[in-house]
Amino acid sequence: MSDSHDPGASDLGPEPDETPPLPAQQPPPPRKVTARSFGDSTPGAAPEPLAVSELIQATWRPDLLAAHVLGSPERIARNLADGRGIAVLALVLFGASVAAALPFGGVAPVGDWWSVAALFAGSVLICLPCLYAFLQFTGLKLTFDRTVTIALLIPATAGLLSLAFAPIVWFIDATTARVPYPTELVDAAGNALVVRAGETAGDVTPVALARVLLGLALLLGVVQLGRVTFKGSSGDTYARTGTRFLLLLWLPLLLFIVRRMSSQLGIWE
Amino acid sequence: MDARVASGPAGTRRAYLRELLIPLAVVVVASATYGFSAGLVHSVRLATWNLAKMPLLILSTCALCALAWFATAQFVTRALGLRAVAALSLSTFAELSMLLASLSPVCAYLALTIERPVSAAQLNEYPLFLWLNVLFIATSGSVVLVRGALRLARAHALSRRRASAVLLIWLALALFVGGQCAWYMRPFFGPAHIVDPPFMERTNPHVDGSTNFYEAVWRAVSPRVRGPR
Repeated sequence: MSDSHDPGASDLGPEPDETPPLPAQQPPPPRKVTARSFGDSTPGAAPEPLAVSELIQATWRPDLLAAHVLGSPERIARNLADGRGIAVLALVLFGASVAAALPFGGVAPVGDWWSVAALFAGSVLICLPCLYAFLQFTGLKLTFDRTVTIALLIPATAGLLSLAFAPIVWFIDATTARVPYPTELVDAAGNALVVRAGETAGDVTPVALARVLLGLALLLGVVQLGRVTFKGSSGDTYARTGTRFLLLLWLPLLLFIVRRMSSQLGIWE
Repeated sequence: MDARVASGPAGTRRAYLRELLIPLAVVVVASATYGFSAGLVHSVRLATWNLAKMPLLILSTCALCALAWFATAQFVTRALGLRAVAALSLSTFAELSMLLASLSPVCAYLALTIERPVSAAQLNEYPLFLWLNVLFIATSGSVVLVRGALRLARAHALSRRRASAVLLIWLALALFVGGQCAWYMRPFFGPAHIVDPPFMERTNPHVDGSTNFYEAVWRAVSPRVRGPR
């Protein structure tokens, strides 16, 4: 027992230092989901570019190919910004443009089996040189591989969506009654109209519906191009206002070529 | 991010089969029940055929739309992989079938008690029966769609807007394809004065000359339609 007895002190020894109680834990503020976190399971996290291994794996996994091309605009934007795996990405997009469009061409009552693939990929490749040249000429020095990748986004997206629509167009064509055109068909001026063998007469034919689905696939390809270019930051050349403006000017040319080529390929009269 | 990772719950083979087989069984049984009750408006024979045709209609629509559902889901949100799309689409149709099956006593009662048509010019209460069924399907579909969107948003950490967009696109595709499927497999029910209907009309044109579902809709809504062939 201590002689110097402090009335406030404990007999067991000095009081431990009193530490102030911890402040009550505040819940973290809710994370704001922005447009750039689109499609990510962790909103706000910086997306990784598509790795070369992922792209190679996608060549034999159609579901992964769809996930990367259709569902990863922000990751493709990172590839364009960093330049990583651009060449492989361009090759994969070209492969998707051609291979994915073949089934639709094979079952649809428009053109030949290769027509749709030729339309999507061919029209973009025809218009590609002028896109690259104008980008260089206006000082928006986008590298050739990036230019090719951006341009191929449209046919690759359209090709994959046409693959998804192929069973639908096959079914519509297979289940529509075949009512042949009348043997004598004239227009309002009395001129005989050319009738192609095998076509069916009707207000809403499988041919018309196939064209609508192709148009929808192409439109979504253009939308995908917009999504990728808007995912980039203003510091990236491909996402700058000038590049977007040039792409906007280039699109009508592309659509004009698509329209002409579709006539020549027998897809749209 | 790998599409397989984001596809949903437990990755065991048995869990996946359960995710698919149970909704599949519900679709078959429940849609057959509703189809039978609706077919009674014509005859027991048509009602019995509907036991097979209604599930076939739904399952063939699912099969034809599967790729398009997956592709459009990827386009809207990468959170849904192949497995999640298959499970979600089947469960949506299972819920719709269950709601319709719950209405099948009402449908059967109406089918047996309406004033039957005697001719094409005298349909009596048949149009009422037809429109009530359209209302049943539209209401059940809307309820399933809203519930499905909320559940999709919760399960996959999506915004409600994105979840709704996915389901609305799937609905549009299902209606686009299912309409033609129903056209090919018609009749599911019809006025009782039409005797001896075939099991399926298949590619036979309609009496108004329509060669497919889309043409029939166009002829129904367009004021400048050509006449019957």
